[in-house]
Amino acid sequence: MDHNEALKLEAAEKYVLGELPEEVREEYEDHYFECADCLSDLEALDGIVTASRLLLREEPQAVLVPVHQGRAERPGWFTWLKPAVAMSAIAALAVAPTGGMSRVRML
Amino acid sequence: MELFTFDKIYVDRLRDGEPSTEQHFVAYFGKILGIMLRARFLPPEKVDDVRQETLARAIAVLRRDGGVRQPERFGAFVNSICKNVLRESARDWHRSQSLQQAQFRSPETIVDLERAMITQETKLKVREILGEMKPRDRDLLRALFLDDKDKDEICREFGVRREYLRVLLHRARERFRATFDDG
Repeated sequence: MDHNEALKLEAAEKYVLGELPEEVREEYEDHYFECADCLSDLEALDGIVTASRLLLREEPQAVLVPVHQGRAERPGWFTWLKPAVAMSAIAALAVAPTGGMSRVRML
Repeated sequence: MELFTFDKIYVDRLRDGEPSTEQHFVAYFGKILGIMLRARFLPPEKVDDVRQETLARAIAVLRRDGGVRQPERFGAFVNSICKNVLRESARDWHRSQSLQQAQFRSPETIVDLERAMITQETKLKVREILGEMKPRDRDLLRALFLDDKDKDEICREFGVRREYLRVLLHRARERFRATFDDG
């Protein structure tokens, strides 16, 4: 088997799904032990399959929430650069000296 | 993982027990053999047994025979040793089937072994990919990887053709590559 045959056959995906007939599987194994691209494809697919199996079994709820949604809940440092937040901050700073002084006087 | 180009110097160093070459040999073929054995849906502890036996046997053959005829095809040599180990193991497993049933491992053991196989980075990337998938596709993967069901039955339940499983994996692989490229 050469690389073009492997691509045409979708050999990497079929291999990890156990869909290659035994003879073809052995040919593909002989090929990817010496093919950088196929080895790289398989390494990625093997990682996806192994990690998916682990994650879907171990933390089924965690993977239901897209990661970027989780991130959006927590404000980062750069949130302060957003116009609405920045305006509020500037307004608060403008008022701060007076407020601070009055608190001191009150004490 | 980069495909390694083998030569006589490498094979001679391995035969002579040079520590850094031995470390490379174990790390490199440990990964490739792991992929090969997991594709046969062997339980994690069997993957580990066959892998260890293959690596040990390859070094033993090198030391016994003094080297290999085609050092540049050293990968093919290790591949053929693994196939032999698999054939022998299959006969042994068949013979000791009743013993295996008595020593049935717990699901916790399987999860521990799987956890040890993947890096934290891979786990994070795959979590991200799963999180971005449509819930139906995620459920399809769950059924495919975790439920002990026939693939045709799973496809019928989800109303998809068998090719869709490959498409789903292909897309996940592209996304996986892209997340690594993005850093």
